[in-house]
Amino acid sequence: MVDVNMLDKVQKINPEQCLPVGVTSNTIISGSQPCPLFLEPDEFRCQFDFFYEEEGDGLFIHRVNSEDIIYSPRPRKAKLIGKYLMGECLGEGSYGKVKEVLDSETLCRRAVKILKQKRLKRIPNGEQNVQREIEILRRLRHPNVIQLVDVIHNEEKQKMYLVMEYCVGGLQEMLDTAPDKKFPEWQAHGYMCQLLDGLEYLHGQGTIHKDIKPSNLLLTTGGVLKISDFGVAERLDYFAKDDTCRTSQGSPAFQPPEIANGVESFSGYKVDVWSSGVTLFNITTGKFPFKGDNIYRLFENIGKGVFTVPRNVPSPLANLIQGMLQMDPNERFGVQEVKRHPWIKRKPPMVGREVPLPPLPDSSDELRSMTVIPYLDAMYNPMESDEDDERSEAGEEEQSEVNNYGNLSSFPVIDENEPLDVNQPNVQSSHLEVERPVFGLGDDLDRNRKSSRLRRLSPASCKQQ
Amino acid sequence: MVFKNPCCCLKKSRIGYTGSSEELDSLPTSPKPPEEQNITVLPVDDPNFMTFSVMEVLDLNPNPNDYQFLGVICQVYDGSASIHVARHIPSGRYISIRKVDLDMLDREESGLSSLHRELSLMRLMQHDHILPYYCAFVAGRELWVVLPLMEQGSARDLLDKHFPDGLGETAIALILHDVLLALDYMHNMGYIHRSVKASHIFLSRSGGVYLSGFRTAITMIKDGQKLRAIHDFPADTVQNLHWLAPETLEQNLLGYDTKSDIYSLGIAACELANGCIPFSDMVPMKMLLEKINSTTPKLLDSVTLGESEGETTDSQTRRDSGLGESSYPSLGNEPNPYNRQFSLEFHDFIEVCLRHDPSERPSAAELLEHDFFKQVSTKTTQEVLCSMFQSVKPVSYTPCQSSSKDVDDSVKTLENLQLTDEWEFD
Repeated sequence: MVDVNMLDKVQKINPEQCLPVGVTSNTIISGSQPCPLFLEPDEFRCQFDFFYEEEGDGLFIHRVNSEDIIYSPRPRKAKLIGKYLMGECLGEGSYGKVKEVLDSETLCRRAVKILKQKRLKRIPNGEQNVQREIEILRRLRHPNVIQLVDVIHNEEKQKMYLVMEYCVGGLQEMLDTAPDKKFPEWQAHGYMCQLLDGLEYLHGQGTIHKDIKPSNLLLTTGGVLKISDFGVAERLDYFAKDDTCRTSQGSPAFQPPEIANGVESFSGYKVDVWSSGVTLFNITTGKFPFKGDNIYRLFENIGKGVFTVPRNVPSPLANLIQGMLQMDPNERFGVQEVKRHPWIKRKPPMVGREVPLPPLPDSSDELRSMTVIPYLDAMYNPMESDEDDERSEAGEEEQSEVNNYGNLSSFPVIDENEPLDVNQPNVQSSHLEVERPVFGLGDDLDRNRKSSRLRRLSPASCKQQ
Repeated sequence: MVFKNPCCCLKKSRIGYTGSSEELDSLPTSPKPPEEQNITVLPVDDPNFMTFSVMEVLDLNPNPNDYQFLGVICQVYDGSASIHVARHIPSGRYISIRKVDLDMLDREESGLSSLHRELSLMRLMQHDHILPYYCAFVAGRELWVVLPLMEQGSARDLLDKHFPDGLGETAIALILHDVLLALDYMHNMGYIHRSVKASHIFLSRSGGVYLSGFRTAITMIKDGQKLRAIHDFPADTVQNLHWLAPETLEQNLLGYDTKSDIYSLGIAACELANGCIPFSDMVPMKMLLEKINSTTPKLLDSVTLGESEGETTDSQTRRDSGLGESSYPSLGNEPNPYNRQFSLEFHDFIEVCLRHDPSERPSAAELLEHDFFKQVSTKTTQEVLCSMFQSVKPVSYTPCQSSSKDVDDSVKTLENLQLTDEWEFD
């Protein structure tokens, strides 16, 4: 028999196309009978190919009650972590997924970084890094630094949730879709000023980020830049005499010569200035100052410190980039010097079209609306999309259960039990065990991987609004 | 500023002026039984009772000794602030003082800066229908804000104490007209109020209507330019969620603008007419879903209820018994929703205010031209409201345990002590 789970698969793969099965299914697909008449055989074959594969010997189509289709477990199921309602996946870090959530009390959009202890243990220094990240983030409060809102532990599931401010997207995402992979000067200037404000604050707090790059610079709906991902950041000791650091685990393409050359100790603040300089170079030219086929070549080139600024870069900007990418850390600009630089001081004219945030890869939503809405819908209106007349007992049960949700106190606090893992075992985790080295545009590869995953998630979001 | 007690910092403080208690919002609207005798009603009929006119531009002396406290009207913002009735001793007039316990301010939530922002905004806004303050100063560990005394409290107080089923249409039109004037002024100044609701509309005995509650207000002007939209979500004001416009709640790239205040005004209008707050029976998430799905609240009267439920025999009988009891125009409203009918203009007013698409909502200036306000003649607004207020009691307060009197008493008893007993030594 074709079981309900299989139909469930149909729904996941192509919800629209499988809809007619449910709707016209009083005499539905039944065992060893010819296929139903409402589909052309060829059409049917192409849609339900796997039916044939699974059954092997010839065509078996089984009778399934329409209720079974309608009330089969749906991907859209509301999950609450503490007071946060889970939405769709926003992206993946090396430690786990980042999902959008909704604070059920304040209705504020948030993002949650989900950390699995199992996965953390496999990454060198994983647990330690996370603890440090939390410690660092807890002390920081600045408009241009991502804010940690809440930390939730689940001992049973061996998971940890870092609830953060919600950001709609990042600079990298915008660059990827921009013509020439760069911003017009005035737009880059706006981001650079905010980055410098954030850096100034961080350094004032004795914190060195060590991994400044476009993909770690996120934007809120209001266009405010937030420095994020403090996974490899370092907090200087209270009694430290200066900003001397000894370790760095940042992205290779953004590392300064002193690290590429393996110097034992170096100035931490100047590391951030260098990577900000590479970032500035990247977002204004669409290129990288240093390249290499592999990490050794890359570090060799960085270590020499020789690069050229493209000719079309105006001289004040070129001068600033030169100052930030000085090979000798002592000659390199400090944050204050950068802030005083003529290019920063003078706002460039608004020439050139603004690069917008692209619509999310899995939906055509240009507004980046809440992704929790379908889940809310499922929670409060479970019948809405079904055939109203045929309410099965199961459906009524569901209804009464849902009525209880009216009172928040009786919410079952469900831990998220990623339904995807059932169908795509370990697809994503296998990708993530490897710490990915970043060679310049290496981020692209990763991004593609992300978007393909997001597409798989789409059934839940396709119903949005 | 000293933040002595770390525990206090964990509490979410709500800073800002609301003469009414926010907590009342969630309470059932049935009139409360009169409590113990330690509740005193403002002695408005006393010939010695005098207040400053709200419009008098006063710079009262920031001297704590100038003020004699008579009692507490209510606690606001989780007990971090309280509203007192006091007398300004040099002039003998009554005023109200908001005391904010600065130690209770939550440093993490930047309570102090929002308090500062609120006060500077109240100073900036000079309008006939915006509540001003006379002076503000630090006394001990408290901040005192000296305000005009609003004898009738807020519109929410009026609903809670006297009219659980809502105000009459004329009264609502008069009140909303003045609120719209204030909103139009604010919007022209580039500010969004973000918490227009009954508990932020204050009423003086003389019929004055004043908008307050500026803690959540936000400017649309940045770097000298007026922004097309703003995106800031007021995450620390859970008690305002019911009034927020769908576009404010959605928090997407579109953002929101001054039209979001018009939506809140529509909700507040329903609140005034129905007595209850729309969506107040829902948890926030359910309310969010309803608002995003364009569910719009309506006025509860025979028109809307007839549409949705049809006439029941119960309502028929009630209608008969209700006849002849209403006297129009009165401040209150016919208690039985089946038995009352708001004008078509009022229904239309609610409909245009609560349109889902902000661009389809009229601006405050356009709304002032709405047919609903034809019943308002601007010259007599204050007089009509003033006469309406004569029928209801002003706000009450809990008198201070007058410590001086207690001390006097105990001194007297000590003086009168007669040591008649002789010492006995064994």
